[in-house]
Amino acid sequence: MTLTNEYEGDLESVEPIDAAHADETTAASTATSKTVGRQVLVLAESEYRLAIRSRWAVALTGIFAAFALGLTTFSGASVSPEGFDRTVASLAVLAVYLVPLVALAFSYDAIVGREESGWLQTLFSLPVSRAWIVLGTALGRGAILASATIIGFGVAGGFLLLEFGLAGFDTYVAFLLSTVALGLAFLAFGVLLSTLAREKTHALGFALLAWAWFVLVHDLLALGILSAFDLPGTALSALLLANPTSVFRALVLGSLGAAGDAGFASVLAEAGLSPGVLLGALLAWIVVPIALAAVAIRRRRV
Amino acid sequence: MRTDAWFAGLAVIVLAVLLATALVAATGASDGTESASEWTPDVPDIHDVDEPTEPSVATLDGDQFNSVQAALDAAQPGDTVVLEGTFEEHVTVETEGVTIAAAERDGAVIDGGGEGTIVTIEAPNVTLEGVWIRDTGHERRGEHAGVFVNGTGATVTDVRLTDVSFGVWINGVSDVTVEGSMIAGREDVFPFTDRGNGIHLWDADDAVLRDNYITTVRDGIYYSWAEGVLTENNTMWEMRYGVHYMYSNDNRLEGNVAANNDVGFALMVSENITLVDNVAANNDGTSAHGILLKDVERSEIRGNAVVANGNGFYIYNAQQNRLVDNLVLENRVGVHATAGSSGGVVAGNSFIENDEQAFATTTAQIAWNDSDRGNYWSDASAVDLDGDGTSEIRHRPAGTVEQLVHDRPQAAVFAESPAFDAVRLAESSFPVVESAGLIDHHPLTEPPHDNWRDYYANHDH
Repeated sequence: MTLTNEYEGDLESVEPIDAAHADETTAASTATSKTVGRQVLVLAESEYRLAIRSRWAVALTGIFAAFALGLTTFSGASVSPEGFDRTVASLAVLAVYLVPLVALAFSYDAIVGREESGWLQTLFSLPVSRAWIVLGTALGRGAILASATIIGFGVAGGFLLLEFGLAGFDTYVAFLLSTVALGLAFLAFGVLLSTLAREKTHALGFALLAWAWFVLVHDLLALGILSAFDLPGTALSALLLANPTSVFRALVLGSLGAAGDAGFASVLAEAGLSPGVLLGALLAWIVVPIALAAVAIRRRRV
Repeated sequence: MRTDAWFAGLAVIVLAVLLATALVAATGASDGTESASEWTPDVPDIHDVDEPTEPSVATLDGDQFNSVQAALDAAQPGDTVVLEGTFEEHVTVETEGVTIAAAERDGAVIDGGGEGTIVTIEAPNVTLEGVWIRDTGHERRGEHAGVFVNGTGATVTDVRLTDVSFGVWINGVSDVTVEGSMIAGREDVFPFTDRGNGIHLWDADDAVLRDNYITTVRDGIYYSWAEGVLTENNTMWEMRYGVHYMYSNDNRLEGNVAANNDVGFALMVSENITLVDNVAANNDGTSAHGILLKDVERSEIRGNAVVANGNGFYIYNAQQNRLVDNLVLENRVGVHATAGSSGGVVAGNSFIENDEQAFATTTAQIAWNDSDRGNYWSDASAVDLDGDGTSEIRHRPAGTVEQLVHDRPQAAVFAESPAFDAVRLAESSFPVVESAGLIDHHPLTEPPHDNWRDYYANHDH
């Protein structure tokens, strides 16, 4: 385990870790916020390096670039004028399938996988609060996923820029940033599942179930509920906000101009779902699962 | 030292470049997205014309008169009265076969001074040519017209009518021709119903209306009890209904353009109409229909383009019509069929980029295809295995989900979701799932129209 040794080296370099404060809670209470910040950063950096060296980073970038390029350049010429809005509309609809799946696949083993390799026990023995271990892990992997999304879709954006010119490019960048947020939301959810699962296979199973729920089942149920009952606007908002993919779709498609459905934007406005609310909801979908995971890991028995 | 930092570093650089470019794009104002709602027809400015400066003279066989009426009173059948300059009078033509012509187009003005009808034709076979007629009476119930035609076989050619209540009123006489004329009503009169019509046909059989430009009136061309009328290449814009149609059978409308009106073509309570190669664009007022067919029967609606209207076609209790080869582009609803419209053929049309491609209130499943050929749907997933140009997968333009979205607009927030795709796929692929609504058994894989691009061309007038 040469990698492990290297990271231990990193952790030991964090100052000051006093051997007398080996007890976790004592360490947390005496350590200054600056120390905690450095601990989290070191943990995040170790996750980041591991992902680079295990080729995860390159693989993720490749997947996103191939997806975006394939959809934008090799798709047959459709019968309608081309432009960023229309490209973004089709990308947004299809990104809902791919990005959550990739994010969950990348994150489901973040905690439980480390436990099976014995690395987590090592970390737990160090005077670092468990909550910071979760946060560091999520930050490291999040940085990789966000970077991969930006590079992958950014390359496709470059080609689109050559094809369509400058006008309307801001729509594409807004879509790209929303996609980063969507990926991070599912990464956070994956980390939570990984913290709760006893075995790696369980985490994988939960992750796939979560994907099926959020991508397919939830909206189908919502459609059914909408057709069966006459719901007030708040119930509609709740249904929409309960699914990060729906929030993402509303955020991206709602912001489109001529290519978007006029009815779509007005429905969003009626339900009180302004871009600010949607953005806040997506951020909550990132922060809340990580916070829950940070709490849940205290109950974990190694 | 940190050899692995290149990845995040690259991401930061890419992000910075993207954000900077986006900032430039956002401040660069003009939106790059093309939309057909920008399309406008090429029309002249009817008010942009020079006032004639010559002294007012009406010439009849070398004799000069200082009023049009005096010259007409002196004319024999078949004579020609040539006008120059401005006349402030009201004229009645009671001599058969005379011609009233401006020396050059718009070189003569007959000004009604805001009262009554200006030129009344009471004799047969009269010709009115190149004259500018303006300022009729204001009462909308007063039948105040620029030209009131009460004689058969009259011809109105290259006439300019401005500030009129009604433009040309054809009053129960046949074989009248109105061509190459321009009609502008009073723009500042609201509501639309307080204005008169551009060309008003009442019991005007076998009339020919060709190459006219009509704007700012109530209805551009109004038909009532008129049969055998040929209407072609007219342009109607900025008014209530471009063409309004009641109780008029066996007529043909070809190559007309109605744009930026409340309704483009409102065809009602008539049968055996041929409506071919017309354009209805950007008709998005209160009713907002491109082509409205209400109680219209056994008619042929072929090769028209309905672009960027509220409803492209609005079909209300219309039976046994053929709706074929039309281009239906970027409307809020492509075709809206309701009130038991049935029995016709809908085939060969291109449905491209409408918010809602088609909608029908029905409890049955209605097939929109001919025996072997359906329509092109830009949102259909077409699979053509045998290469015959039609898809082997049927298409549901208005199935369960579309019905749901129509009934409960709230559902639109989920309508682009994978769940929606799943329901649609089930409806298209497995004939086991049968629900009420529209169905196309033979959707086309390629659009039969390639002229849709024309409507995205930039028009700068």
